Amino acid sequence: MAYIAFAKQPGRVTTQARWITPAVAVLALLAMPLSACAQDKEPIMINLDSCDESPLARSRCMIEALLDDLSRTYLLTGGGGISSIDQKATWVYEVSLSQRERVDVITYSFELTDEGLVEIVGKQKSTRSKG
Amino acid sequence: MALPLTKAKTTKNFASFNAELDTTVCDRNNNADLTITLKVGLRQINPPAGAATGKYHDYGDVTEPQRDIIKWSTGSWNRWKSTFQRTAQSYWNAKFWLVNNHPVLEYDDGGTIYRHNIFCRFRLIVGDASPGSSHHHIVDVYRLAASEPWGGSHSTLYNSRDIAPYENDKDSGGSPIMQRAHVHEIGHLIGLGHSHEGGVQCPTTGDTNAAACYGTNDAEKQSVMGMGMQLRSHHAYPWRMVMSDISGKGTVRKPSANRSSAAWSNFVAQVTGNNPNHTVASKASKDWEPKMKRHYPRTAAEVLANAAITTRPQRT
Ligand SMILES: [Zn+2]
Repeated sequence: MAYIAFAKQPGRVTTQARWITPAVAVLALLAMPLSACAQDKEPIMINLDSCDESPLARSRCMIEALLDDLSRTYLLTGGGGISSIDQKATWVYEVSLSQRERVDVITYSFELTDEGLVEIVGKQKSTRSKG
Repeated sequence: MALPLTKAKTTKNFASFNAELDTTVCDRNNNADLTITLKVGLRQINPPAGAATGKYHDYGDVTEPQRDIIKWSTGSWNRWKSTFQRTAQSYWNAKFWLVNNHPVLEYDDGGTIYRHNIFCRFRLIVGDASPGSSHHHIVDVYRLAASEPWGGSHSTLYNSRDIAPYENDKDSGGSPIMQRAHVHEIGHLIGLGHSHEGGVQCPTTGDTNAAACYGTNDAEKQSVMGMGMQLRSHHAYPWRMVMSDISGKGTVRKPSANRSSAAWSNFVAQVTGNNPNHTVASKASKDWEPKMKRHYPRTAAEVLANAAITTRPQRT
């Protein structure tokens, strides 16, 4: 499964990716400034020594990791996109994606590695049926 | 019930639709007509308090995201209803023939007895749902604002764009899989389930709206009961079920026109062959065997020879 973490390197955004292809790592790097631009004209600085540095760091590492995984594995082109990302436990996040007649629900479980990175250790799919 | 021995019109009303078998049209070249009639009552969903614009939650569920909607005008509503009725009816009407493998519907024409097959017709009657009106199903419809790319809908709640082609997915070659959602939903209303229902990744004991139920390969995804627009012969199930019911002949199950019924599950297993527990009753079932090509009435000799008459024969 994928690791994603943000390492301290002042002045620029750095993403370290392990167990994922170089192409995905490049995509992740490209995606970061784009998402920052949507919120702020100045790039957001990510300066984390560890994903466990703070509650927000933990959340961000996990959400970035699940978004990266979704981008590579959730290939349906239709629907309404992500309708929610909910924390269900300290190391468990649930993402919901709207489709006609249903909501696809994917529950991710994470662990913190010794290097301070976040690792996806579990992924479960379920459905909220509509209508 | 038994079929009348002479040509007649036989009707039966089911929970989800009405059916009429018309044998008065039978002759040496024409089969019996079986018409399924579905009455759908439509209701507008508009912004509150007469406002021109407003918000509406996906699936009508207040826990889901909201989309921008606009008020229906008389013209837009009438155009939408007309397109809905015309396109859904033409999609399902006159697409299937059922080959008659039972000693029924045998009528004389010019001194020769012919065994008649079934021509499957579909009629969709659409009206505004109002108190006291009678419909098999009520469908609510909200009108998406032009700025909205998508809105959550299901079999009894549509958004205004559910009658237009929409890309649900891409196939393995990267080509878009397009669908007009309302024809899929009409399929549900007459008793059809999803294309992979009963398959390994979509057991009927689980949620049959799960993503895998819409197809695990290109063929299933392209099906109208998956994510696409392709019709398959097993989609003639509702007409087969009616024929088994009103003729008393055949083993096609009789679900209560409800895709979640156990009988429906058994049927899906039969027609898809996906369920290993139902390998005996496979898609090879000859009872009211569905075809997507016209099969003409047969003489006794042709029945005996198991002939399929698919081009107009020269009858003397
Ligand atoms: Zn469906």
